[in-house]
Amino acid sequence: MKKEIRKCIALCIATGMTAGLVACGGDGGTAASEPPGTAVADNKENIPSSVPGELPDAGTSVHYPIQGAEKLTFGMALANEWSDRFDSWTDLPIGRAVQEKTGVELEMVHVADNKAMNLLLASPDLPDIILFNFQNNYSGGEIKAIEDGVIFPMDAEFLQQNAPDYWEVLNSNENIMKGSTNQQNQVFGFTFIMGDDKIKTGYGLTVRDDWCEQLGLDVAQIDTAEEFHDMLSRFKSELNVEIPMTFTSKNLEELLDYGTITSPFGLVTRDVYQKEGTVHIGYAEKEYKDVLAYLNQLYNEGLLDANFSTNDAATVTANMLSGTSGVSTGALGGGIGTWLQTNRDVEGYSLAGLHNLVENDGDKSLYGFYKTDVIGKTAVITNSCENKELAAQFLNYGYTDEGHMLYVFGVEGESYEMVDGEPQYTEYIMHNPDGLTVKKAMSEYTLSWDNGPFVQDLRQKLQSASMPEQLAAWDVWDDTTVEEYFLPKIAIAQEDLAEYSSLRSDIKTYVNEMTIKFVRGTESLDHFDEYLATLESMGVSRLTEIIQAATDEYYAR
Amino acid sequence: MKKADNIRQAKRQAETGKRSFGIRLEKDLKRNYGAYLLFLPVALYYILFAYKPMYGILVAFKDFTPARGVWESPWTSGYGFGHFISFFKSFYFTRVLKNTLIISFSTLLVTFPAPIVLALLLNEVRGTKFKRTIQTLSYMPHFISLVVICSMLRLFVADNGIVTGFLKTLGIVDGTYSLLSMENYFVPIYVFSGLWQTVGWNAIIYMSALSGIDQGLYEAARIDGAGKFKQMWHVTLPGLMPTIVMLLILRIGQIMSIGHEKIILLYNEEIYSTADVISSFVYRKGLLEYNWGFSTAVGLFNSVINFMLVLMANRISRKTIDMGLW
Amino acid sequence: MRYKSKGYTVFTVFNYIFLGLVGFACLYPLYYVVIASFSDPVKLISHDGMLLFPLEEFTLDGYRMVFSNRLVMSGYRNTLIVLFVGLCFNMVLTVMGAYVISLRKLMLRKPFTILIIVTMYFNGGMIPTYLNVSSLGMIDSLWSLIIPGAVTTSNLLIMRSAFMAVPESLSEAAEIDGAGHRQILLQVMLPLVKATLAVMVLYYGVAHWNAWFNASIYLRSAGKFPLQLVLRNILIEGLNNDMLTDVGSADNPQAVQLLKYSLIVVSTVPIMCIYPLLQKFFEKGVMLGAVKG
Repeated sequence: MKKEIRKCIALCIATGMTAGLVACGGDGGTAASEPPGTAVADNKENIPSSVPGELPDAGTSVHYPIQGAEKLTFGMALANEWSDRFDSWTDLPIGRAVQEKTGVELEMVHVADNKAMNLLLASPDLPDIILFNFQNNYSGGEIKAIEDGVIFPMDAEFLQQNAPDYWEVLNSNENIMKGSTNQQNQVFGFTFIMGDDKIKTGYGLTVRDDWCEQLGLDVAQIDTAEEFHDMLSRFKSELNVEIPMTFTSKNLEELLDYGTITSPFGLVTRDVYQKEGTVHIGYAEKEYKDVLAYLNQLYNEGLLDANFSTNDAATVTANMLSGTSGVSTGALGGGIGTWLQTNRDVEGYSLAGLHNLVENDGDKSLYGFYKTDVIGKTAVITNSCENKELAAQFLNYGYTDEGHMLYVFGVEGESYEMVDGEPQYTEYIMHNPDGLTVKKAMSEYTLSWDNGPFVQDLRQKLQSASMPEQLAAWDVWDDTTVEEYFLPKIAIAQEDLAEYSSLRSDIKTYVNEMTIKFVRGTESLDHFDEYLATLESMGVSRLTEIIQAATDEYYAR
Repeated sequence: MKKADNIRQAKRQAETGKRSFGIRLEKDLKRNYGAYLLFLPVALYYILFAYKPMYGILVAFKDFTPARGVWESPWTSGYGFGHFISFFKSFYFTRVLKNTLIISFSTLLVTFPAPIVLALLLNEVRGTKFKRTIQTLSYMPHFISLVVICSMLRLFVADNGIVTGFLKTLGIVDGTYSLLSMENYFVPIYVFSGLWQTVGWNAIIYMSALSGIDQGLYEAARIDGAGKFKQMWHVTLPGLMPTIVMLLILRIGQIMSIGHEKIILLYNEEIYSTADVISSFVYRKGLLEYNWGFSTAVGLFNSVINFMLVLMANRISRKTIDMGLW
Repeated sequence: MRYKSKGYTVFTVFNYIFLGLVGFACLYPLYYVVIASFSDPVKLISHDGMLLFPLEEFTLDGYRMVFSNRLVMSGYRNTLIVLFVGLCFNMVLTVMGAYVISLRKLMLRKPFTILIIVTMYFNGGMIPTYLNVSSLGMIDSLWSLIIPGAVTTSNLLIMRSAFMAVPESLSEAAEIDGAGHRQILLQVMLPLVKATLAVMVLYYGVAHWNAWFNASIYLRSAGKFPLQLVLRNILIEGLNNDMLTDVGSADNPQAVQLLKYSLIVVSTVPIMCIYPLLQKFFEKGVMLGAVKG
């Protein structure tokens, strides 16, 4: 309740200021006016009802194109998707359009990769804006980068004045706000935001549908550990399938960490999760033993790839395409999508998504693949920037209606058309005349193939994963209660960071090593208690403690 | 000539007693200014590109982030030795150190003498065409990128690979699994594939050294009635000795440095117990998370040991055969 | 040949056979790569045993993909520029430096040598080196690939030992004739160490050819990237299409395999040709007696 009131106030302030500052053009808009199914629509219930629907016109204080704007420098890593055809991002249709629409001229500073970006950050003169995945590629993430004096931290007042649309998106959902701020409630940048819960999912088991049909099995009915086992063994005994289930050791980690196969044994996930605010670590729980025993049984019966520990992804793909294997695992695009696309001319070849394994028929699985609301690259304003207000106004554009369409779909008439009021990617994107892949074609007109300062749109992913089997698999994989257990985007306290990463790395090494040994039977499961004891001696409690503290801080923030 | 020079110098020293270093240096500079002038660009290069950035070693003692820079970053805990302590105290420290040494010494033992033998054998070939062909072929694996070499290796030692098949006919393995999923096979695979990759390329330097041996010495040996094998032993090998010694000392100075790329391309979690080395450990721990301080600290630890080994090797070699790097 | 014993004849036979086997074992990987670059990639993965002929369908798709990238041609050009200009710097500096620290009479020879050797083990690391190059204004310039790596210490030491192998009497004789260091180096020493010079050209040349890392941190424009960095990026882009990719379903996983092999052929064959050209320098033994006379 309190939260809502605060949001109300914030919105009112933003609105009031706007009215007072700029005579607003009608072309902008706010998230509130977005059509259903896009952007923050899924968070509709969070938007205070007191905001009337006809607000949009008054909700914008930044008028695009910005008049008399200076030049801004923009640091970004070169993307292989377009660097073979263009010298600079500003030569791309998206780059040209962004400059034209915002009225801000950009001067790009391109570096070759993440390492080079780290080196750029070590230099005294930084570009005004940097788009970079600090979370993964800068020790300590954005929060440390604020402390280091790289990032200019933004407060509420600054954002309300210069980036009202972004401010509104931040306030639409608590997780978005917390995912974009540090412990002192300073906003570190213009983040990439998942506009719909469904975008956060899209990973699971994939099975040869035609084989199941041949055996009289209904794929939709297979969801318990027993049924899964029976299916695999019938593949082997009745269809003489050489390797019923193929995967790599990385896939095994995914299956366990995304909870794809752990639910029947009462284990949420092998990874870290939370239950009503209390942190648990799956690999240190005794239920993990049952998961391992199950996998070990499958392995001993010859149902799993005997060489999964040395397999690479190419082998898995080859097995799935050549009929050597009937089950594997992967994501919507890279797994099932790629295999179907490659074998589209093969008669009778069909794939289907398999429900995450559960205890009882028809259950939702406890856990599943899921992403945080805020993820990936963030566009930050650096302290070297001399006109921070302008930089904020420029970056705000991605969160307006118009900017949203530009970043996600590109230029109307070129990269998308409006069909029945819905944007549709053109043939140029989906079936490029020059033979460019979808990703490469998209990279010319959008940033939605990657990350950027805007809200990601479900319609983008629906259209890029457009095969009916893909869409069906997506729905099946999505049948989870992962939201209950998912750990939000917590921030480990700076003083714990070194200890945390050291503990995590050693423990992860040990867990992965032992997991493979238990599954393959080179280590007997009778030693599972010793495994738990070793984890304890390696400091798994301390690790839990550090994560718990960060989680507490997150919920208290 | 030289003798006379030495005597004169000794006399001069005796005359003046112990002359100060400065005066002697001044004389030397005057006499050999041409040589020092030649060295100037090289000295500038080393000062500018090797010594000027050397303050970066401090990163090993700091909680370093690029944006703060070397000077501004705070010292780590433990009086600046935080990264070292965390490395030594790591659960896996002894394991990765042990594996590094085992892999390194086996590699040295196998891959160091092999190119010398290859060069000697090639030297005995009279047909120029055959010799050139073999030599050109032998250095080809050096040019194939590691990624491809390793993916081929994985095929060769897979459950249906040719190496596995060969071992199976010998009754050593049963051929159900890839050799890379068995702990005992990692070191041999690593070492012998390394031999294959480097033997031809490393023989080149010896081939060039062979061509530098005075042909008059062979003539003299033949006149003394030495057969081919004796010539090899008494002329060729001694002729290669300075090269061998220099390369061996340099090689000993790399004992601690096994690159992480090949290890990572070949290993898997199951055989960490024999395959995980310092560099792959640091790769997982430091580089992936851009933990500059930690990886610099471990690098420094390796460098110090390597440098001490070189000092030692050089000293031993100076004392025993009067050859060395300095 | 009157000095050949029976044992030596047997040895010769085995020697030829053995070297033939070594040659075959070393040829095979390249042969495999070439064959694989024309083969159906799915069949390739499931193929057992030795690969001797291209697997159906014969395809040129890999090469088409490589050469459709406009950066490949500019990559060749940049690499060649760096290779030739870089080699000039490498050779001049290495020869000068190695000659000086090979002079036994030089008082500062030992400290110089040790100071140089120290740099093999201790360096400032990536960031200070980058800032240094940056402060010299070489960012996004091909000079950044030439100057900072102008001398490789191990090569310098190899060169030095070649100079030291030349009998001192030769340079002393020249000195008496009134030759300065420059003349001694150019006219007496260099002709005697031709074989090592050839090795230096090979080592530095191949290093330039294979280098990509410095380019990835110092260069900003893709148009200046050397070949290896371009190829690496193509390869990484292919590999990035992994199982967790979001956008996709149209990207062909087999293409990546093909690409990998075609890239190797495109990038390694040219540099392999350099060696046969240098080989003749290793052939003729030196007749020091003749030089002396």
